[in-house]
Amino acid sequence: MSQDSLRADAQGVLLAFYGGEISPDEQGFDEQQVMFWLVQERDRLMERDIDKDGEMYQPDDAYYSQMEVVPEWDANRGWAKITLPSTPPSVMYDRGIRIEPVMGGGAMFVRVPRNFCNVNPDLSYLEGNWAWEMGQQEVIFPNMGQLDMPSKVMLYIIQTKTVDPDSPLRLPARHRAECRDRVLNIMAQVVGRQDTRTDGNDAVTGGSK
Amino acid sequence: MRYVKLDTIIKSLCSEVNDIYLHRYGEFYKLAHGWLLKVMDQRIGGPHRIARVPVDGRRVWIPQGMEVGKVGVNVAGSISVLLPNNNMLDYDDDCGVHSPPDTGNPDAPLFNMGQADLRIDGGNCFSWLGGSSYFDYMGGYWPGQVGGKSPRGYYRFFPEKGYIMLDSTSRYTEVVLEGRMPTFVPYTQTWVAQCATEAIEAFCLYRKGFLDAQVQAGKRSMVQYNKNDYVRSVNALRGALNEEPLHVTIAAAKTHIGQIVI
Repeated sequence: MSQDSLRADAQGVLLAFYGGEISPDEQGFDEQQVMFWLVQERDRLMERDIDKDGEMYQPDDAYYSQMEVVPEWDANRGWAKITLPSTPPSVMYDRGIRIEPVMGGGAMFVRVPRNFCNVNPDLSYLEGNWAWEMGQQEVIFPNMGQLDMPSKVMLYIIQTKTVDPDSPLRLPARHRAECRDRVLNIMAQVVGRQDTRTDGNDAVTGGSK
Repeated sequence: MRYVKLDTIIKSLCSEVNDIYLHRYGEFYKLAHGWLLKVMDQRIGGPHRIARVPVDGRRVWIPQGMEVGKVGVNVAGSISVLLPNNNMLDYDDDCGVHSPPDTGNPDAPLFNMGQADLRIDGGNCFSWLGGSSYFDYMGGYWPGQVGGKSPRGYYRFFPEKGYIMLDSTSRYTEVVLEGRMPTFVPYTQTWVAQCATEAIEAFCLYRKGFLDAQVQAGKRSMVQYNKNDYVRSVNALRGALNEEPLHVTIAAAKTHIGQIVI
């Protein structure tokens, strides 16, 4: 929930939950479990943002993962494309993806609706911009020739359900506290159902069994 | 009139509606293109263009879509116009090949002295009275080419054939065409009048909402609002296009200096 790694965030949640009272060996929840919940609640918060603002929603920069990818030529279909590491969430205008030139000053990439260049061949030049369309876990560049392909493009993508312990959790700062609270709430509910402490007391009532 | 790139307008519109990463560019671009086709006002687009075009067997093929205003030749950096002669003929022979009859120049000499076509451009002209004598003060002119005659030659448009034909006395290897290009030509940058910027933006927003309303049920209060904004911007555009240039206003004002205008 910060620029710390997801693992560090999970450790912070565990610390808050147990208050440092017991050693990790005795804790009922492990890091992996908490990391999973953090990512799950992060995805829920993002979906709430999407539902609230509808088509005007411009996802926060913090949600995106950034990577340089190499376009490849699809000889069968005759267009350039890049393969996405995962399918982004459904956001209006395919805003789960952003594509930019790696080097400044290059031709801009503009998103067009699916099949736009086939339906509107006279418009496929797009005033000199590169068009991109969402495909099946790939992005297609319908007006880019094989010889025009840049060596790399910059891809920004919202990845869901990803649990990379060594990367920061992609979440806007305004949602950090809420995300942590939600996970703590889940942990409290789970504790209510299962006794994870070795103190011999009832998990719900606190009294001796 | 100032011109701006349509690309700039669309990108600016995208940023104004919080679409800074250009995800709506394609849709706005399609709408703007449709608007330019519908409005069909040459004052909005149609950038001015001067083109050097080679002469191919007396014919000058007009660049695609160009609306030709002047046809001339480059003389010391200025365009010196040819004159139209709509009586010129361009026949098809038995094989279907165009075979223009000579000369198409109404000022061509009535008799031929062996080099009758070598005239007009000075260098190859000849004089009836020998070199450097009586008629040479006119350079390459033939007698009769004064007052409304063309010292450079004649041409005729054959728009259905896509070319301009020069008279047979012409010796040019290229001519200069001055005119306007159509507003939208595929695979080229589109330029439009800067004063149309607001109208294009307003139309894109209005039309996008209107089209969305056709496929998505639900109340869309912004459609009516955007329509009003579009009407307002078009009225402003009309005013800008029909506005008198400032120098006309100043000239009109100057004519009243010292007068009492009631």
